[in-house]
Amino acid sequence: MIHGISERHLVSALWEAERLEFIVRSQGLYGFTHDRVQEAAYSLIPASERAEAHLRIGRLLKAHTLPQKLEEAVFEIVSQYNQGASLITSREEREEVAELNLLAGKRAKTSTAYASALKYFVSGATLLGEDAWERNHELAFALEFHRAECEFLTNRAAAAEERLRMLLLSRRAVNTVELAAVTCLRVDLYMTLNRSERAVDIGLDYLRYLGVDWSPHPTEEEVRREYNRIWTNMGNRTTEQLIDLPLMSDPAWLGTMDVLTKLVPVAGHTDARLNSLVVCRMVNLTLEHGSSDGSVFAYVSVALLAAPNLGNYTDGFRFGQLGYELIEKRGLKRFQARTYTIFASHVMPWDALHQAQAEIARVSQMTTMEQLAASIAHEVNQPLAAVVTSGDACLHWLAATPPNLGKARRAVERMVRDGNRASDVLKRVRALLRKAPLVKSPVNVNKVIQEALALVVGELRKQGVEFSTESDLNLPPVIADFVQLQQVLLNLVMNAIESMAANTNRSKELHIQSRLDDNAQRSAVLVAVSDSGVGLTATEMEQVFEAFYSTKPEGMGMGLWICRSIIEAHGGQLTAWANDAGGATFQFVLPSSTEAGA
Amino acid sequence: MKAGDPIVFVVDDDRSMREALVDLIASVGLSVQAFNCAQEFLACRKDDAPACLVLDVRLPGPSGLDLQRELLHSETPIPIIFITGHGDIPMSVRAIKDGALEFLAKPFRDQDLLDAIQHALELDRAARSDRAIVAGLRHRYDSLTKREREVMALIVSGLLNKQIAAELGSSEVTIKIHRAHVMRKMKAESVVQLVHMAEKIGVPTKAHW
Repeated sequence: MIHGISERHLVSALWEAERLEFIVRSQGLYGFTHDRVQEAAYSLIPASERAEAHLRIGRLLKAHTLPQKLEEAVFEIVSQYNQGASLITSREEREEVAELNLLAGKRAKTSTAYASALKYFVSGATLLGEDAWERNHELAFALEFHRAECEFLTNRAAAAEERLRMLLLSRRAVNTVELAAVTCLRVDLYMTLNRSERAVDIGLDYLRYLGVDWSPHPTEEEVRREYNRIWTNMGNRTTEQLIDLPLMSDPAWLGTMDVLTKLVPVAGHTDARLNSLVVCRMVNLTLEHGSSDGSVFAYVSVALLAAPNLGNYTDGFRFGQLGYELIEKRGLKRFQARTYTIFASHVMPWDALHQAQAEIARVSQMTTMEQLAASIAHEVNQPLAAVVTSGDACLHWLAATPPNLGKARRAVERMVRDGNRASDVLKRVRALLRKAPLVKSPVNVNKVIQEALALVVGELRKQGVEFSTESDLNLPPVIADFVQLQQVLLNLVMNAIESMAANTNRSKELHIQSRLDDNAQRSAVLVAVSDSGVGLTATEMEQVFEAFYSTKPEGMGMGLWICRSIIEAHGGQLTAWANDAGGATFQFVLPSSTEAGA
Repeated sequence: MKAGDPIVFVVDDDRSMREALVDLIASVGLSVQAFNCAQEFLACRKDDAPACLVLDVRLPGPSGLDLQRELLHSETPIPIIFITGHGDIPMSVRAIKDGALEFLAKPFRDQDLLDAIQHALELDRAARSDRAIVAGLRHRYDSLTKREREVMALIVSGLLNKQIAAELGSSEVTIKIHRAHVMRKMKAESVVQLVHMAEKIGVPTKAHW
């Protein structure tokens, strides 16, 4: 086919080769009998002619591939074309091949082959001339944008950022959709580099382009105004009716929702008020322009905001419910995991607890990185060292005369087992390999308790747990990261619930107490979480805080270890003991802010 | 395994590592016995044979370094080769100062460990025969009378019979008899040999002046 000769001629031309068993013919197709034969045949084509041959093959493949089959065959076609790319002179064909490279790159990216994807985008971009930005803007932008994304995904953050910045500076991102895409990627990039302030600035720059001028540190009043606007926008509608809002269809608004969705967690690190402002704006955009994936996330976030901060529990829970139902009924599943994690109470199924743990791990990672690294290194090194030693032993058994194959086999079996063990350790810690900074400010622990309970109240009811609190309302604040403390408490409460899951004859009781620590030398605040569950043995009391210790078959064994690390990073202590009447108490003590400031 | 054959003890709480070590040591034809923790090792009865201990630093309960301390002051010290998952320099310095033979970071080259084991067994074999000799000498020394011991101390200090007699307020003839008893009971053929024996069992000598 490549040589453009008829089938009859081909058969006679190849008859000799077939007779010598260099090639085989099957179902009308010829194939080489062996890769080596193919290599030998290839080496017979002079190097100077190979590019031309590849180009010819590329063109023929393209011409003979049905449009609907193109995506399937694109890798093959592009690979041939690219090896002959230097010979393509016509602008139309160069753009056509660039388009194919874009398609191949996107496909490779979907299957997470980022390095290969990057090569396709680079090849595509190289095929385009400078004038492509005017002639075929969409193609040129797509190649450049995906290229930056793949650079970012293959750890070339600096190159990616430079490319994205140039897209903006040279005004090559021309519309809202493109600007939103570039902005989202840059926010991700700066968050990965742990520069949340910069990430916020980038997000706010985008909003400024849309004519919304927000400060990175808005006032309480600005947040309140945006929140009230939700109720104005709602009019007479109930939250239940919002499920039937039309889906957002304008790509520009969708892009903006994406940017805002990125900004929520970023602002969570830099400014709580900005975080609230963004969430409220997302709800308002939903009410004005329809539901999107981001709406789900906005509803559950505003639920968190409404309930404890603004004292509106009923509406808060309704919004949470709304977010959950939108996922289920309208198929807006993009932020499903994130939504469930945040709205841990009503909607969080039991197995999502692990996501919450991963979240805790993520937030606390900064404070515990060193400990964690040492712990992981040991956990991985141990089985690897055993693999090496067993390998050595195996070599000895094989070198014996006669070789002791039975012993050698058993050594190899141990190597397989221990290799898997090392790999399992890495799987367990993969969830911890992300970054987030620590933000400390004066925190009222009663508010932490209140919010943590608001998150789990649904679960407590579902499990039939009776819960009570006993709070000293005059407690001094502690200097802490609110989110981390909340996650410690959440983790302790979840553990308590789990420890009571098997209670059949005994009632399930959870009691949370906060008070001044009168035993302490310095002023300190104490929080105790008591349950009526299975309790702790004397040895467990210390072991539960060790990394990788777990009584649950699926447990990572990181929860309590991380809790203790968080509390210690705040200058406090986390301890546990068995109650006289059964069950266990977990208690943490934190220095109060008057002390911490002194 | 015959009585008196050398044996290698392994103490490591990690099952994978323990099994691998046992197999590696067995693969070069050595007898090996493994334990999970320090207490288990201490509780086990040991035959009278050259031995060495391959010891993990980090153990549940008493650590490897604790066990080393304990063995150091026991009647039958045993050469120790430390292995560790952490390349902790201060810890290895402490272990070596306390007499550890080798401090290997996991994973180690098998030859490094096997060489260390061979070396340790040689040392223990020598130490054991040395201890046996010393025990024999001490037994002979114990058979001496109080007077004979006084005389022996002065002989090995290099004093002549006359000087010893003066020192002890006795006659030269009596000293000569004591001296003959000492040489016979200690089975020493010469004064030089007696001096060596005295050194081995630590008989106090009198300084020259």
